[in-house]
Amino acid sequence: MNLREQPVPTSDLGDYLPHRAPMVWVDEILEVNQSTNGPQGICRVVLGHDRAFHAADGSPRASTVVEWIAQAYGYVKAFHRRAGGFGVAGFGRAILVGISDCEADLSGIEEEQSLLVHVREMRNLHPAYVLEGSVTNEAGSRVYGKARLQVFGGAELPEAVPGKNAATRPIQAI
Amino acid sequence: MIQPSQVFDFTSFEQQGDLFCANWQAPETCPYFVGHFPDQPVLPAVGLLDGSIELIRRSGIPFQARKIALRKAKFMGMVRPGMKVRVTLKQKESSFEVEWCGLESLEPLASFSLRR
Repeated sequence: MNLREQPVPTSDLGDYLPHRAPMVWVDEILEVNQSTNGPQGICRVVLGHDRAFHAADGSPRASTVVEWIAQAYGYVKAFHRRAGGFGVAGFGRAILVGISDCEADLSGIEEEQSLLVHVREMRNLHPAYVLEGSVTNEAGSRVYGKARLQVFGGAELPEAVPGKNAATRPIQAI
Repeated sequence: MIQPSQVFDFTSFEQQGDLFCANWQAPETCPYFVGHFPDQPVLPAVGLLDGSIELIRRSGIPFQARKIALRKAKFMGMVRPGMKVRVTLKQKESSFEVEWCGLESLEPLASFSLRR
């Protein structure tokens, strides 16, 4: 589902995820699709004003890449669930339990007005999930960071578990 | 803007060989708790990572703010407002190993392996 013509503000999904300002670090959902492994998508982060992820010099801290990827995954899954007609009933929080292979180099990021966060679920071992993500410029030509995350909790989406009553099961909220 | 150098006001520094330890009490007003989450504040993973990097800096090792290479991190517990923790840094040849645990409970909370 391409939402680039009308990006969905992450604030629209406030019922699904517990994050609130100033700790909402991902701003818009641009794309959400279902791959064979699970949901995947792209979100946008707007950089142009003072936010909690900025360091004293006004640029984002490298550690922010982890939170961008985690939040983008949560919002992509939440949007996917909502698009499937399911609400927040049974909504539960998922916990970040691990990170691996995370690299970030934000040199030159001050030239960007916004960034894209690409996420995709790699393994669904409900209630454990493995996802990977990357952070790029808008053109996708420059990669600023990447990481693989492991989360625990939440629930599978109905599309991913035919025959199960997913409507009553919780969804990711990192 | 969150400034980890101000948030992580470590105390009780100790150094023994390649081990560098410090204590920290998560302030009720810690900016990482604002919005994460309103009904149940908990230090986010990014806060634990920022704190780990800050401890490396306090040990006297320069650490670039714009670059990070994290081999592995594990999160076993949660840091909540008011909680007292012990953070231990071990320098290895090719990495920094940082462990967080409860100061009194000694409950393991998180571990990080950062490339040098």
